[in-house]
Amino acid sequence: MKKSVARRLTLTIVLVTLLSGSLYLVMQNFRDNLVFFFSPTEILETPDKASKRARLGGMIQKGSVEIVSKEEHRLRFVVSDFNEEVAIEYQGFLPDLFREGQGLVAEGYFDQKRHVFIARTILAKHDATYMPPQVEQALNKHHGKDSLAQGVQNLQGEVSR
Amino acid sequence: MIVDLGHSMLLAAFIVAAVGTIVPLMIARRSTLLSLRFAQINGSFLLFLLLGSFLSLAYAFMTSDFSLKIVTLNSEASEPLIYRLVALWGNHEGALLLWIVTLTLYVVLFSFSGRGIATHQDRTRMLAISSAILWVFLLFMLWTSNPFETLKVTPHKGLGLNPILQDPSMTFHPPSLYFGYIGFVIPFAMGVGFLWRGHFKKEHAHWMRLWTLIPWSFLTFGVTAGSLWAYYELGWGGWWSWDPVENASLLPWLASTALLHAIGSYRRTGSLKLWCLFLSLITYLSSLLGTYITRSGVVASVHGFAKDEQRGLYLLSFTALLAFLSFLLFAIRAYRMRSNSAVIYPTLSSFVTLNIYGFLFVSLVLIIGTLYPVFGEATVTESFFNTSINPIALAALFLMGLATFVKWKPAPLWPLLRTRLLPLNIGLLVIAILMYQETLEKNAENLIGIFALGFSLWVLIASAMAWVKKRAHSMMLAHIGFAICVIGMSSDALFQEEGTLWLGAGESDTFAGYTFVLENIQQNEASNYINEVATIGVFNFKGETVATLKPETRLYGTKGALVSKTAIAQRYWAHLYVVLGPMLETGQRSIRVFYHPLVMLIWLGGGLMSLAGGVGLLGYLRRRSSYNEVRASSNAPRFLRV
Repeated sequence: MKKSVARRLTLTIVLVTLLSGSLYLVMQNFRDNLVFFFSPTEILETPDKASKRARLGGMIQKGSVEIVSKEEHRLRFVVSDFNEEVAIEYQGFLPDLFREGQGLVAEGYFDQKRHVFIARTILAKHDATYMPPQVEQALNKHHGKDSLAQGVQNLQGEVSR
Repeated sequence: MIVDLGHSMLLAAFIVAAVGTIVPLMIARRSTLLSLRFAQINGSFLLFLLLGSFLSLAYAFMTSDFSLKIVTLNSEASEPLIYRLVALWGNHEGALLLWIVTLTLYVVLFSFSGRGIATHQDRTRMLAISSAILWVFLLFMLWTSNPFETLKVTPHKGLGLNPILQDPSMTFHPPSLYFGYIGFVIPFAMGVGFLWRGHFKKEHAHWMRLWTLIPWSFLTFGVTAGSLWAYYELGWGGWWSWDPVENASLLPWLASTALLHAIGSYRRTGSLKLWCLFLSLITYLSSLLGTYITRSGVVASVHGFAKDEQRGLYLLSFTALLAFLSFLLFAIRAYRMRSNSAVIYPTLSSFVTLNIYGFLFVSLVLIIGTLYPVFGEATVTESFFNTSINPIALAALFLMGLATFVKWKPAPLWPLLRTRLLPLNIGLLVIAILMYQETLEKNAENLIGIFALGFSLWVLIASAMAWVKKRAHSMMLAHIGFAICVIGMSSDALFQEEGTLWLGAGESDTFAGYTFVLENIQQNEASNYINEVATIGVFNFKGETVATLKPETRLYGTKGALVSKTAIAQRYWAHLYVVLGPMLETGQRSIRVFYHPLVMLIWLGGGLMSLAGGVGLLGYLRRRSSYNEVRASSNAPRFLRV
């Protein structure tokens, strides 16, 4: 009887240590993997916060897409929340849904010296009518529903063209 | 006319469900047999009403009856018949009706199960509990999302089905997921019923295993099919992205898998009795939480077509209430119902215990990572899930290897392992070979991948050997499936290649040892979309044609939506995977290419696991008749002893 109690105690202690240890690791891991979302206005207000890792969302401005380097296939375009505008530089695959006037979320960091957002990835797991909810919120926050409707209109114009 | 009939049947069902919840419990004081019979008949009538309602809605979609709101919003007369029918569950309201029909089907089937295992009174109570849940869902549907809502003006055209859902897998992927999710209401009702009564015997656990295994198989199949869909339809090159909805489907899978293991232990050793009851509650509650995440759209997801705060609030309060009540009942009864058998190390039971902790831990990580964006403005990246969950999964894989020879009775491990060293050595050899590969970077992620590959080979070979010896068919088969799945995942993670090609017409570039030539781009027109199809020739180093890939971009007129269709070619054991991107000013198109080695093993393994569930069911039906004899004879094979 005594032996089994001792055994149970050891097992419990081992389990509790393992669990709390791994929980600690998970929480650490959690902190490292949080990515905050910014609208163009927010990123210009607090550029420090986005200097390491951030997501930037907005509408791709019409006529702003240009090729910086033809060999490297480096692109530069401007996203806006109809209040502020931020230039994004990106090199790599463009999802098919990448169109001017379309909503977009990019992940990367803000280069404070050059005032450019360097995107590592462009998130593209959605269809064309989808607007990232964060973009929607950001747009609503700065200009109310009207600009949102205007954005959607632009988008539809783009598609039918 | 038919639609009106369907609507009235739905309203009638609401009343019948309420009767089915209350009346049997009232009659039970007089005669438990009578109350059980009443519940059976009432349930069957309810199923009839709901099926009628569902079929009339299907009829509305087939004939494109645009007076109904959901028909207008989700279908179009020009679409092929199959997609008009898929639209039935491609929207929130219709999906909820399918959900309720499935739930009723489960309740009715369950009402005829359990003769000679549980008392009439227990069964009546369990049926009343599941009917109550059914009634709440009916209330939810009629209150917030009635599929028969009509429009004031009948439009001539519908808006069409979300193009991303216009895929053949949509015919079976959502229904099989529902058959999984929803079926866990039965183990929940059983758990609550047995807690209410205050007893839970081994034959009860055996019965609970049957009703966990059915939804588990469907859910496994549904999750696998969903991952396959995401792989070839969404076109971002992966098969799992820790999307909120993916996580929502994984939560009940983890809990129910833990439940199946706990039941195994309780049936054979009498330990982990309370864990069985607790996990039966957790399984259904996590499935409800998953429903909340999917249906409310609180978290941004690829399944963003269902968002509504009111619905979310309703579902969340219901889940919270059910959790509170069932946990309260558990807390009151737990001490009295505790098991006398302790878990002794090293037996299979002790590994099952560790396994349960592992599963719960992973669930916790999933919940934290999925729901955090609701509270803060930040998102959690995929690497959080990978780095937190993969080590635990690796440990679970190791336990699976041990489980091929460890016994339910305490026995020293080493002598047992010594007779079964071959599979382990093969696994270790593979690990050693991979460690010496200089091309593989030895970062934490790859190290986990290497060990996962080695261990899964060990599990695969050892389980296959045990399976051939006819030991624990379904369990070994499920473990074989899991091992195959992990082999696919880890080799894809270790040896996957991805790149972007920029090609104008007639230009070529090389990737992963193959030459890709963009031959031409053609424009076509189909009944409900126009598309661009690129023809890409793939050549090996000798210049021979290996494959011709035809990725597509579609523009669906009705919703003005662009959808990419990937093209995949099988090359030996790998996939060459191509997605077409937009045209640039230079006249070139960006084309994304992936080399996915052994990736199809993931879905093969998942399918095998689901099949293993079916094998387990057959085993149950076969054993059910000789249940008592087997129990009496002590020289029956180890895994048959119950």
